[in-house]
Amino acid sequence: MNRRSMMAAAALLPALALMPRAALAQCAPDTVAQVKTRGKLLAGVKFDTPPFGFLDDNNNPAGFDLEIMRAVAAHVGVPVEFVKVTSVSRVPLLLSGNIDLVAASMTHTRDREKTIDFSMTYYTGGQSLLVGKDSPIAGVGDLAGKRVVVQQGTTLEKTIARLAPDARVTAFRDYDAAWLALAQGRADVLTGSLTILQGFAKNNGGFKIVGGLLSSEPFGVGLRKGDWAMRDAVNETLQDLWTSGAYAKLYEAWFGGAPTTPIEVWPS
Amino acid sequence: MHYAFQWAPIWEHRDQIEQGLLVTIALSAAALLGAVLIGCLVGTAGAAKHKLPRAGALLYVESVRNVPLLLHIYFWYLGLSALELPAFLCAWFGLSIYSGAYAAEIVRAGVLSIAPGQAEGAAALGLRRWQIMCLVIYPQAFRAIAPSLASLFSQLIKDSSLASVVAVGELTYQAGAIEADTFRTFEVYITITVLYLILVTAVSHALLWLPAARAVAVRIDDA
Repeated sequence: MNRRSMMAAAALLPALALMPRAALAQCAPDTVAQVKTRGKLLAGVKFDTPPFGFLDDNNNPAGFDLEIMRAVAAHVGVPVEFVKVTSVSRVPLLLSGNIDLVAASMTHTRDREKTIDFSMTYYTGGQSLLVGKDSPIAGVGDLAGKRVVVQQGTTLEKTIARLAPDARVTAFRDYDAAWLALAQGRADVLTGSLTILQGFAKNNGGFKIVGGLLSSEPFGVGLRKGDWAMRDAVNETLQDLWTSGAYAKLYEAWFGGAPTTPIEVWPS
Repeated sequence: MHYAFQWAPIWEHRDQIEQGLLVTIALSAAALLGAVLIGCLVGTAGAAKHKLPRAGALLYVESVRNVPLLLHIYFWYLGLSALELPAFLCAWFGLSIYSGAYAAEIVRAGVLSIAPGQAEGAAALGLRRWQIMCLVIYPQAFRAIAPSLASLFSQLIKDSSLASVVAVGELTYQAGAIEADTFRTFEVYITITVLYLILVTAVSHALLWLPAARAVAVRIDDA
């Protein structure tokens, strides 16, 4: 959270300042060649966002994002090493070369595209509403004057501000804090990615999901700007996963049901 | 690594940074006021002759100071969620009560540093108890503790960043929002680091130049 983000920033700033210019210059953008020389793929993933990336009952990293990264490593022909990232550390770690790519349930936006590159969409999420079991709120039309909580700085925040201009929206720094606000009765509604809301609803009785899907959130794998070789590798992996049927199996395993949005497949 | 710093996205969000800075200043100033008030009351009790106020002060200081500030803020916001206190108020309470414990120790040390003869002399002149404290003890104690209070205030400004966890729109909170929007992590955290640095340095030096701190210092130096 806050203290963690400050520490991450503080730890990363000197690293950037001390980095020799020569090292910066000779760092070629072809990450695939580097990965093969190194013999492993360094994949940044989150450990706190089930079912995308989290620690399972045996404290091992697991999740949909991690399976995608495993498939990319297999495509390149090396083993994968997972590196834990947070919302604050993921971009600095990627840009400084400490990780080769990052799959952290990131929505692909034009503003973010100015800083890093994204792969094609590997998962399409949608925004929904989580309310108490007895709440009269049935959809986005009932939100006037209601206290809505959301994760800060996300596309979700902008969407809810647009769809429910009369709602009292408070944005928290992470999902857990927003969830606590709802659970403690400080908010009437938690809005977020449907899959993540389902996770909260499943683990805690007394809440229900309403309102259907309010938006479409395309998730992309984050890559360094201009790293076309790695982006090709990720895009090819995703298409191979789709055509082989492995994607549908992963989707079923982590989200239940069939994929709602197909992966685009480019003809050979 | 081909990292090109781009400050334009930060500049485009300057209204958020400006607003965050104002909230940080307002929260810190309000919390300083609360902390000094609590500090004077509890610190004076801690320096009292009688056992009961001393025990009360000790209990307050130990129980408050030994719990992380984050939990103080969560206590007001989530623990007492039935009260529906606004987030800013929760952060203000948490910061004031927490820093008040540190201020109490500073005030107690300041009061105890004044020679007992001062109070006895003032009593001999016929001053009442509150007059002895306000006219004789506090002005002298303030001179002794001004540097410690200044460092407490600079600590408080930095601590105010924890208010971001309950969505108080201060500097750290706004930085998180801009980061998530633009992914310019380095630029946004460098920006607020510099702002905190300037703010804390300016404030901790300015406090030592307060007329009150100087006037007392001069008067005592002259004596």
